[in-house]
Amino acid sequence: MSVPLISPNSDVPAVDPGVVRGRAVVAMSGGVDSSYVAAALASEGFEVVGIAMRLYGDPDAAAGKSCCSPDDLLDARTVASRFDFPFYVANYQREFRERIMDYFVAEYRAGRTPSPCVLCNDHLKFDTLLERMTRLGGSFLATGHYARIEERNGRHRLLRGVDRQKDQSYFLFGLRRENLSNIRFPLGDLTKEQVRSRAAELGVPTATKPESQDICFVGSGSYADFVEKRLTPDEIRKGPIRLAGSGETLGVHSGIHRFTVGQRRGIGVSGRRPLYVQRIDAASGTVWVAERTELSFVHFTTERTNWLAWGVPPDRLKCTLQVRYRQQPVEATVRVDPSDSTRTVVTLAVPERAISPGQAAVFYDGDEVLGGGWIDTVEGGGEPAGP
Amino acid sequence: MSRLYLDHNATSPLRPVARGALDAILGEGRPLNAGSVHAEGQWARTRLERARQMILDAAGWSGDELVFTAGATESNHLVIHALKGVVVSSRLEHPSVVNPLEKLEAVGLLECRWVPHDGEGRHDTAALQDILQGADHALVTAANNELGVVTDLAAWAGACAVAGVPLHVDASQVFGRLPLELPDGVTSVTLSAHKAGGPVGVGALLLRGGRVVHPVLPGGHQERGRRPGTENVAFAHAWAELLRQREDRLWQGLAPVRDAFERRLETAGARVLAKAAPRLPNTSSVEFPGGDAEEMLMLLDLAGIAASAGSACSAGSIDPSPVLLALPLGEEAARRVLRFSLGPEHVGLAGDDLGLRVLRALDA
Repeated sequence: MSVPLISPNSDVPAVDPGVVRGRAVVAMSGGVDSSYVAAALASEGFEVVGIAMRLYGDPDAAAGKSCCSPDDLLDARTVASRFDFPFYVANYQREFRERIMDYFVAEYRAGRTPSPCVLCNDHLKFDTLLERMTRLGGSFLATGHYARIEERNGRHRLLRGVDRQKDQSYFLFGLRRENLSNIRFPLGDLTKEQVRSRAAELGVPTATKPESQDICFVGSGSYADFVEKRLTPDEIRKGPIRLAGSGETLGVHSGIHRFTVGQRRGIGVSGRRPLYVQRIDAASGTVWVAERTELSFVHFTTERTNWLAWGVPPDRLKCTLQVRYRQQPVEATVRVDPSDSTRTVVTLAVPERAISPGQAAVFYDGDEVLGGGWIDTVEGGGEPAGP
Repeated sequence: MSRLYLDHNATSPLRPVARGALDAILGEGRPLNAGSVHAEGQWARTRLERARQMILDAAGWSGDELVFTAGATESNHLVIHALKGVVVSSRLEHPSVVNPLEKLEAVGLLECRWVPHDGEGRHDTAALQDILQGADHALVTAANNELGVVTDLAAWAGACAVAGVPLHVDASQVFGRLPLELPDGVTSVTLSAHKAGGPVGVGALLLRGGRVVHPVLPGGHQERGRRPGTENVAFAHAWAELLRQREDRLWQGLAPVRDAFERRLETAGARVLAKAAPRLPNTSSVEFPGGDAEEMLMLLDLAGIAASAGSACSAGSIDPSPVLLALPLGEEAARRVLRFSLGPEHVGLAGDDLGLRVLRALDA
């Protein structure tokens, strides 16, 4: 092959076909990204072992639109056959149910907005599967994430993918620092268009397959319906909808799991101006709503914060930060709890809308992911948040 | 190092005799529709009927009825879908028996009674007499596909004869491997070609004693209307030619290899399931303490060894074997079990070395 398959910046020399360069375990979803990673590594002479994770039974039999459905596993198998490397399906249904789906339901029940993709990365791909890679004698685990891991000055750093439209570093903040050297993201230097065209060039059967976007296990229904089906009637927290500031009760709702901070549609009450969910109080079952101008806050705390740039973080750092995937990074100051570095207090330079407990806050220095944590409490906007 | 295939209970590769026969008949390039009235059809008909008789002879079947099918699942279904009333069977049966029985029971077409078994996978034949009281049919395998436990067919047939209950036997894992003893009370038998080196895609159902079956897929008049669809003349021919070689004697020679293989695994702390029961000479279900079947299969495969565990879903992920769960082995324990099944190419090999190769691969 004359084109560099993986990375235009790769210093890997061209190899003779047939030269084995170590065992690469590739996490395959059946989509074009991971298919290309596996095919390219195989073509570069790595002894590829493809592993797809079976995470759930079919959410609704007809759904084939998100990754990791049975059809997608068959697609991954087709790629493996085409490029002649062993391929296995790992049955992680129980782990997925216990660690991801139960969490998803519990978070909505607690009035928070969960981020299951981060958990799936932390607990399945880069934990269970990474361990399996080691036991299978692999040299590294490769996935189709758009992010980079680079070694600079003896330290492995997690960086944004160069394709800013696709950058997935936000979902990867929970990787363990010591594991970065065992993981490769071969797509980090490529754009999606490049991946598609190289996949087509290489003859990857899934080159033109559409993107998957939705949360994979929910199926075609709404998140609220998915959660509701898994709650007993006693667990459904009903209560009032109240206006922040005045405390006026505007109506009642059929369960806090149906609401997300920042939500406007489907609240079921109206005001003079559009109203948004500002805060959800699970204890009292109250959904607080407010006008758009009252949704912004500057302070929040994080818990279960993971640090990638340091073993022990500094007490105070200035960084940029995202509280959502696909958000323009904002400037912030982070104070780390001196007695527990998994807890931080964040102060934003300017107020930010719809900071949702349960979502991830990820700290960056330019392209580098310094760390990140789970948003716990949010306060201190232009208006008092409490009742 | 060449690959080591230890999954003959899933399928056993085509034996040279069968391949030769298949090459020969397909190589002639003739039209092979045994239902056609012209000379070409007559030629195919002759081959098909000859194969039918050879298979009947190999099975030692006193009846003269043999319905060709696509395999054991279809043969079992032909029988099961003709049943009414109370059916006696075992939870250790193959899914192609347990699943349709449960479905038909769920919609009220059948009532199932399950014969108890011990922890070694042996049916409680002493209980059979009572269970068969008032029953209409009984179904049992000749040998279990997972554990290899051989059924006491004489006890089943005897109890069925006393109770006046017709008995169906699924002999997929036995026919072509062990001499098939079919006592009088047996009125139908499922046969499969590929478990003993015949082609995948042909099987048969033996019938006698007035056992009636109806087509599951109604269509033409093939197989006297009981199994519509053009008969697979070439595969039936190859299967019959293979059976004429009496290769079951080869399979019987596997017992010492299997025993040495198991002894080696036991030295590493593994536990052989159903060891106290009479078993097929080629089958070992083995529990590895602390093992994870899914991962062990990957390690073995990457080291060039094919084995199996549980049942693979359509996407290829593995669920614990229903047979092991019914044994009962807890789900955790069932996920530590691998099945190894030897085949003719292992006759005369040192089972100890095979076991060592497996242990080395798992130690990676």
